[in-house]
Amino acid sequence: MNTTQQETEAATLLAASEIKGAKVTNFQNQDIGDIDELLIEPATGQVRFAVLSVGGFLGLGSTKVAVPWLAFQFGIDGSKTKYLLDATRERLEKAPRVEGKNYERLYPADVAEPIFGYWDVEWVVTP
Amino acid sequence: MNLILKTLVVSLLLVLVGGAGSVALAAKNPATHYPALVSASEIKGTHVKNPQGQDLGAIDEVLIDPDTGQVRFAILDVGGFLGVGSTRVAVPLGAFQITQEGNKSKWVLDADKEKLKNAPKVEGKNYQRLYTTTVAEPIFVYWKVTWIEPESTSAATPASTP
Repeated sequence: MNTTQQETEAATLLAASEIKGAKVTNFQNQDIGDIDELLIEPATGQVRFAVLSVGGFLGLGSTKVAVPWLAFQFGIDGSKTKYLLDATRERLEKAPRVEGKNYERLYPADVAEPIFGYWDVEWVVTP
Repeated sequence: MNLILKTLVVSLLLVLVGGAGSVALAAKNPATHYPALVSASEIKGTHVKNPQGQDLGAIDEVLIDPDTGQVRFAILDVGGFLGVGSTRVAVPLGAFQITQEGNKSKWVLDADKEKLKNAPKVEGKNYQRLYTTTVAEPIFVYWKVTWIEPESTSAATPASTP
C-alpha cells in the first residue's frame, strides 16, 4: 500500500450498516479485525467510538476494543471504503477493552479521555 | 502593568471563546438531552414520533461523514403514515429531538403528513449523492437545520466533486 495515500479521502457518506462488519487492516496490511458497532453521541451527532472486534489477530478469543472514530484512516479500494488503523498486535493487546454492550460507561470523560489518549486522538469536549 | 494587560487580553479571549461556544451550542438542537452514547444498531429500527404523538415511521439508516465522524442524515422510512408505499426521506440528525426514555432513546421529529410528503426523498442506496453540498444543503434548509460546511472536506475536496 502506498503510505502517502493513507490520508482520509473518502468523499462520500457511509451508511452505518455498511460500516458494521467492515474489515480493518493495519499499516502493515494485516487484517486486524472488523467493526462491530458504532457509538454515537446524540446531542452532537458525533461518532465517538467504533467497537473493533479483534479475534484471530491476537490469537485470543474474541476481544472487543473501543477505538475513537478519528483514529481510523480511510481509503478507497475499488468502489469500497478501506479502513486503516495504525495498530500493531502489541498496541491492540494493550488497548482499552469493551466488555458486553454496556456502552454507557464509555460516555463519561474520565473513561473516554484515556481511550482517546491511548489512540493519540485529541479529546475535544463538546458543548 | 504588562501582566495586567496580559490578564486582560486572556480574559477577553475567554469571553470571546465562551461566546463562540454558545453560538455553536445554539446551532445544535437545544432539546436534545441524552447524556449517553447510542449504538448505530440501536438507532436502526427506532420509531420516530411527531410532537402530536403520531408514529411517523422508523429509522432505516444512519449516514456518516467519515472525515469528521459526524452523522449527517438519518434515513426515515415513512410508509404507513403517508398512506402510500414505502417512502424514505433523508433528515438531518439535528432535526430530531433525542431524549432519554427509560434506558432507550426517544426520537421526536416536528413533521406532519404534508411536511413529510414534500420532504426530499431518497431512492435506493445511492447515499453518495447526499454528500455533496448542492444536494445536502437544501435538505438541511428544508428541515430548518443550520448547514455547516464540513471543515476537513471543504479544504480537501477538489471542486471537481460530482
